[in-house]
This record gives sequence, structure tokens and C-alpha cells, in this order.
Amino acid sequence: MGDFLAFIGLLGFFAGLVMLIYNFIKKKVKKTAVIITVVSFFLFITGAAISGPSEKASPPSEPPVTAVGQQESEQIESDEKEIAEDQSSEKTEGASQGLSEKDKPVATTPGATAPASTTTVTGQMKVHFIDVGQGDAILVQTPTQNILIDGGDRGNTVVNYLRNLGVNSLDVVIGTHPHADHIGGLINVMQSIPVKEVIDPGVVHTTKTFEDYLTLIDEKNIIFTEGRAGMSRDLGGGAKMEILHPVSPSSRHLNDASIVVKITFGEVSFMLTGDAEQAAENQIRSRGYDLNSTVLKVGHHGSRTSTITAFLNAVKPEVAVIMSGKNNTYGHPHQETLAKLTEAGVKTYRTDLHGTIVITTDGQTYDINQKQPYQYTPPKVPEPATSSPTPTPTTPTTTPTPAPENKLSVISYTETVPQGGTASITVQGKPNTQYSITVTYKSGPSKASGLETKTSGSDGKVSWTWKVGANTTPGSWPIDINGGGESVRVNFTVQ
Amino acid sequence: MKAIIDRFEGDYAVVLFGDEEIKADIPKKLLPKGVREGSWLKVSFELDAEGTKKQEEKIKNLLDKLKNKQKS
Repeated sequence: MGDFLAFIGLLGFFAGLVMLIYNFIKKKVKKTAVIITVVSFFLFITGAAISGPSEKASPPSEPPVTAVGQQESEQIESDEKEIAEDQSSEKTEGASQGLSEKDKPVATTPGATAPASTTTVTGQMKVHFIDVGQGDAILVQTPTQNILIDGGDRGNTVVNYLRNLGVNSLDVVIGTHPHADHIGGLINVMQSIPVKEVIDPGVVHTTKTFEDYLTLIDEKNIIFTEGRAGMSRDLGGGAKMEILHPVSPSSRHLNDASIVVKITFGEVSFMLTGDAEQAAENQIRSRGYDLNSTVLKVGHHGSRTSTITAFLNAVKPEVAVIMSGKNNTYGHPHQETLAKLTEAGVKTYRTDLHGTIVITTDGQTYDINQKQPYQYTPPKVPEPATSSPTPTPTTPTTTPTPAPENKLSVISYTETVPQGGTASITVQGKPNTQYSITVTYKSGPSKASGLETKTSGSDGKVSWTWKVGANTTPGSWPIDINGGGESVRVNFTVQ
Repeated sequence: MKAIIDRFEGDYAVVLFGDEEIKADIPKKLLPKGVREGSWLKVSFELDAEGTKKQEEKIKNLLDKLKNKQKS
């Protein structure tokens, strides 16, 4: 009814308008023209007003997260709007570029991932964490597709690896972010292996390496997709990839512009985080995705700037993979990250120690080519070697090794403290044992009150709390705890 | 020569030198203020023949002095 009125009104309005213009040209003013225009305009308004509510009654496409019924801050809502926009632009892009049906981006509902068990998978998926020294390169082989995420520094390491495996085409290549240790090797890959699509955060970087990479994508006419949170891809055989980050990346913080993906195959999933740091991890957490994953590719080569405890707790991985180069200048992976993973009981594998790590899954269970996970031992003050070397042949390698009960370990500590702030640490040691603490700043050991030698309770726990001076030099400083013939060290950051 | 800061890693900047983008880790301390990732740098190495020669002379004299000291 309202629609009809509005239609007639609009028709009359335009008719009146034409008459008015005609009169104007003829320099005459006719009342009828004015009346027709005004009356039909009102008719249109009334009609539109009546028809309006009925349109609103049909459910609007809700922002994905509200559909899950989550409380969202304004900030996040705006993020989600961006996601929705990205999805729509992504769809039209895909259509105009004539993607085949399976390559078309599928609109997703972040946070409302279908339970993994409902997806039927066939065959196997293999994820190769390729040892490229200091850098990332991950090959994902689903039953039907090959996906390469990053390619390490410039060179032939990854191309050779792909060739040896007999990979002669890539369905998707992801350049997580423009740093040379991630996209450099993709240049040689794209030169010699056909690539259907590149997903990239689309932020500016000024190196020749990045320019060469973009030029090659252009010359080879490879589909270029700006990767944004909310997109997803069907990777074939039941494998699915969701992009969880970024939403609005900045070229000022390239690590945090990293494309972060979760790849799910049946009940086994992989969280691949590029070089995403603390800020990105917090943003990802705030978007309400199901982050829980079987395997976590630890962010930024195990740097202390990534893998914040809250993110690690949300991902709850069984296995962590750290991709870093042997004896790299930057000290990756950092002790703090290794300690956190150990504390969380995550089996950790490192490309700098294990070499290439391949995880094979049938969607139910998984198998790792490296049988013995990395055994973290906190840096120690030299101590006579009394402990016997770890397990004998009778122990099967499959059992994750829980820390012996009495081993001195850090339970929690303040990772970052501002100048003038309060720091604290809690350790687990032997019951009723004396423990001393030393905090060493640039100026030397701290003499702050609260750093006295203490005796653990019957549960073996000891805590210290102290004030960081307002003039303490910012930086990463060691906390050493000694007692019961053991010692443990963690570094904390003064800002 | 052109050099570009690819990224920062802790106390270092990863700098790519020249057209071949040869990688070197440069302590942040050595870089001018206001640099950020992606900053281009103008880098030049100039042979200081005169300075080299002067220092060689200086060291030579110092050694001679020490040698003569033992003799006397």
C-alpha cells in the first residue's frame, strides 16, 4: 500500500517538476504545476513513511558478532562494520575478476565458527614449517590445494623445498606482511611456480624487495587480494581458512599488520600469526573469534613482544612452533616466551633446533615428524651437573614431560612495569626452603625493599613485590631467584 | 648509496644496503633521529687515506719509542 502511494507520488512529483522547468524556460508561472509538484511530493513522503516500517520488519543483516550475542564495545562494533564492508567489496572484486566458484571468498561469521566436528574431512592435511633460518615459510597441503604462507628471506630455499615435494602450483600465497624475512623468498617462488592468488595486507613498504614482489604479482597477473579479518577460504577436502587479522593495518607497524589465519581440518586447527605482536593479539582477542587451536605458530619468531599470556590462554595450543634462525642477532626466541609456553604445558618445536617441522593430520589426530619436543631449562647460574640426563629408552617419547614437582619455576610475574611502578613475581620451589632474589638493572642489583630472602610455604610457593624506581633505566632486566640448589631467571621490562 | 630500514628487531635495525639489498644489522644507536621502518638512508663510505696514514705514523712512532726505551 505504502509502496504504491510512494510510487504514484514520485511519478507526480517528477511530472510537476518537468512542468515547472518547462514553465520556467517559457518564463511563465502556472499555479497548477506548483500544486501538482507539492501535492505529489507529500504523497511520496507519506507513501515512503508507510512502506518504511514494513521494510524494517524484515531482519537486517546483523553484524556477525552481535549474532553470537556478545557484548561489544563501540570500538569493536566499528571494527566489525569494517569487516562487513570488506566482505562486500571482496565479493564484488571476486566476481569481477571471474574467480572460479571454489575460489570465491565466502562470507563468514567471525566468532560463530561451525563446530569442527560437523565438517567432514577426507584424506590428510600436511603443514610444513620450513626451516628458512631467521624468517617464516609455511606450506599447507590440503587434500586438494597447496597454500604457502610467507617465503623467508630472498633466495631459493623455499622454491627448492617445494620442488622436492613435487609442488608445481600454488592455489594461495599469503605474504603476511612486507618484511623481507617473510616475503623475500616469495619472489623466487612466484618466478618459477604458477600462483593463482596472493593475499597480502596491502600496506606500504619502501624496500626494493617489496617492490619486486608487487611487480611480479602484477606482471604475472596473479589475483591480488587485500586480506582482512572476516574473510575465509575453502581449501578443499574439508579444510577451511579464516582470516582473523588485520582490520585496518598501518604501514607504521608492519608486524601488527600481519595477516593472521586459522586453518581448520576436522578437529585439528592451526593458528598462524605471522609477526603479530601484543597490540594485534589484543585486537584479535577482542573480536570474539574462537581462537582455540591445536597448533600455534608463535608470533614474531618467539620474540617477547608477542605471545601475551591472555592470547596464549585463548588459543590454548597443544603444540607451539617457533620459527627462528640459529644464533640470530635478536636473541629469538626470547626466554620469556619459552618460559610461558613451558608453564602453559605446550609442547614446543623450534626450527632453529629441529629444522623443518611437518605436522600431518587426518582431522582427528596429528603426527609430528620431530618426535622430541624442545625441553626448556631456564638459564642457570653454573651449577655442578647432578641431574641425570633426561629419560632412558624405556620411556616412550609420546608422553609430554611434565616438570618435576620440585623444580624451581616462575608461576607468574609482571612482564612490563612502568618507571615508578610495582613489580612482582611468584615462583614454585620446594616447600620450606630459603630463596633469594636479585633484580639487576643497568645501575646494578636493586636494593628495593621487598627483595629480601624468603622461605617458601608448605606449598613451595614464594612471592616478592617491590617498587621500580622512577629513574630506573627502561629496558629488559633479569630477575634471578636462587635456593634449594636451583636457580631460575626471567627478564621483565621497565618502560 | 641507498639503504632502507626493513624493520626493527630489539636494539637493532635490519638495514638493506644498495640495489641488491644486502642485509646488515645496525645498532639503533648509530642511526639518526626520526627514522622508522621503511625509512630510506643515504649511506656513504669514504676512504680516509690521510687519516689512515696519520694513525699508522702515530703507532709506528709509539712502537719505536717503546723499543728504544728497552734499549736504553
